[in-house]
Amino acid sequence: MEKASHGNLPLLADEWLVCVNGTPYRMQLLEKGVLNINGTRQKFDFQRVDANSFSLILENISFTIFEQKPPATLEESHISVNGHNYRFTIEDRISQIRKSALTIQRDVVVSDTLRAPMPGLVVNVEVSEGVEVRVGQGLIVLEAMKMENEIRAAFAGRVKIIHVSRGKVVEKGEPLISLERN
Amino acid sequence: MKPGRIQSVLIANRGEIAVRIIRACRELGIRTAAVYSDVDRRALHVRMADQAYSLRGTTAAETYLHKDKLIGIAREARIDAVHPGYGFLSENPDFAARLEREGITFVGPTSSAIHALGDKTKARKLATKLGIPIVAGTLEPLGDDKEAIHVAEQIGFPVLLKASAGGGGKGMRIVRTREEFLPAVKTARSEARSGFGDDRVYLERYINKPRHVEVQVLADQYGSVVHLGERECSIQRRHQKVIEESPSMAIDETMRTKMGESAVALAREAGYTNAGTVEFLLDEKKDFYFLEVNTRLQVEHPVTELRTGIDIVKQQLSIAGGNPLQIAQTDVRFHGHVLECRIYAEDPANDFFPSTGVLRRYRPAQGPQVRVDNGFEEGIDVSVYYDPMLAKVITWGKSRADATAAMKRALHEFEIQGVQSTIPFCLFVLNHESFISGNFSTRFVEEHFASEQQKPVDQDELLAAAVGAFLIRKNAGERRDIENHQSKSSSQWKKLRTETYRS
Repeated sequence: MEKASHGNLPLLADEWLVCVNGTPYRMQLLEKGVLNINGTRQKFDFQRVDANSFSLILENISFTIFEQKPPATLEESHISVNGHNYRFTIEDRISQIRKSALTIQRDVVVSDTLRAPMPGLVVNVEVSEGVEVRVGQGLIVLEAMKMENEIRAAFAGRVKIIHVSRGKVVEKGEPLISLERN
Repeated sequence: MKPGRIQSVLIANRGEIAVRIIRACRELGIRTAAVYSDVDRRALHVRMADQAYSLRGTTAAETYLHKDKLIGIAREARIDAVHPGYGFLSENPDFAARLEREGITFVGPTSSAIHALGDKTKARKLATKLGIPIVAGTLEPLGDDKEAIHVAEQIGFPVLLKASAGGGGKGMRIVRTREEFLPAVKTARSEARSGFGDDRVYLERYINKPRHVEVQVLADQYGSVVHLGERECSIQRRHQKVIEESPSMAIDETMRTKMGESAVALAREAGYTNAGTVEFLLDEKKDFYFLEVNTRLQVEHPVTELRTGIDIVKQQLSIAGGNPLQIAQTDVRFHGHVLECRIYAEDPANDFFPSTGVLRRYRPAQGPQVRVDNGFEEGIDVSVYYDPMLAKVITWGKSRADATAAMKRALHEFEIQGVQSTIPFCLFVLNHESFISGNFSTRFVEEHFASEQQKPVDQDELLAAAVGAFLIRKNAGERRDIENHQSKSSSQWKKLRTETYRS
């Protein structure tokens, strides 16, 4: 989803992705008081001041962090620093996979050639070349991170090419199936 | 200065000005009674006053503008005087007159002086009589639509529509074309009616790029009038002041003397008593025109207080108590430079729209050279019902640059969360080259602000915010894990206990 490379790679188990306006920060707690941020080690100390305020000393620069309101979901955060407000999206590995699964379904809408939204295993091909498919019909099941995602047709049409077969491991962005619109 | 005859004061207002008046009263040993609407029950002024009376209701009309309720409370509390603050009933001659009939002192001018000067059209006539220049326009309130259009065309568009009983920018409209005129009159009348209970409006020629400079006066009941120098109030949004200062960089000593003398002459001619402010406009040629008299305490009065060392609210109470002024014009001395920034709960990035909500964090500025007149506290709800001003920050300096440096420092310290505020706007102005050079007009916002809002984001700050977002989220997750673990073990413990009991 993100243009910069830090946002594109799948997250490791203890990694988090914090994004603001398309700028991704990939974060990992290395040891007590040390973060890996986009590949750089940064020393920090973080203390709660009161209900909503925190003191952050990041590489010896002092900041007061304010959580503006309790987030509506775990995936968002409203932070204020020096009176400037920022809205972040936060993902860990699990929420990233969940989001990718949603992306698969969205991709059908915009593209006649479906591509793998993430690296994964083709566990089933439910159609064959030349058959007519209706809207919402299942086409291919892709397993990624132990989750099966059915890729469905967003429009009625005919299956033109099937680029993969059952059991194939695909890389992110690899073509899966091409449809021809009716 | 002695407290005079006044022993107790009802403060018919709310917010920072009610707090300001309570402070003066307390220093003078005067008993105070506050009033409050339903939503202001927990407000600072209610807790600070000696006594507090409910106005039962929420809107301004059913509370702070309700004369019957206020007079009833004044009687019940056996109060000597009512201080109206600014806004609400402060310039309402009917309220002053009713108090006069009740034998309760109104801390302000007499009802007849409010009529003579507070009515903008009458004041313009008076100025003309004294040879003080006025902005071209009508000397009478507008009549019916047909007549109003005719007058507007005679003056020539653009024209400025103003409320006869107005002040504070309410009911004021710039009208640029004939088509916009009648709808604008309707809106202005409606705003004037709800704001001042008087829907008369009048017209003035619109002066392009004016500066707004005003003179503070004090007048006693024995004919003594002094002025306390000027305040420059040109930095405005929606015709309302946001930053004020004294001295003004726009006027020289000759003009300063002339404007001061004009203000004193007007007050004297009108038989004015108590504190008042004579407002002038300066055009681009630096000619000055009388605009109006505000027959009340001004929001920005602390600017003058810090520059002269004179407590205007205490002077008001002394004058209202029948004491002669203890200050002659030659006693008034000016020291250094003073700035004031008004902190409104408004979103500067969204056309200064009022921003309401609970003040989740609220820490007014402190420290040397700084005075904060504040009416709010953390945890209090900023409601939609009243003026969105939270506080005023006033700084003193030996020079303008010194006062500005103190102001910038103070605004950086002032923490507000839960609502948007005008602090970023004020900092923008203070750092702007036009403000620093003194070359600005009341059109500052439209000329400079819109284009400058897309400031580059500070990358260190953004990174810090991201780290904060991450750590808050991560800690919340871990806390939940611990709680889950605890609830599991406690239920196991319960189970164990039950089993033990059974056996």
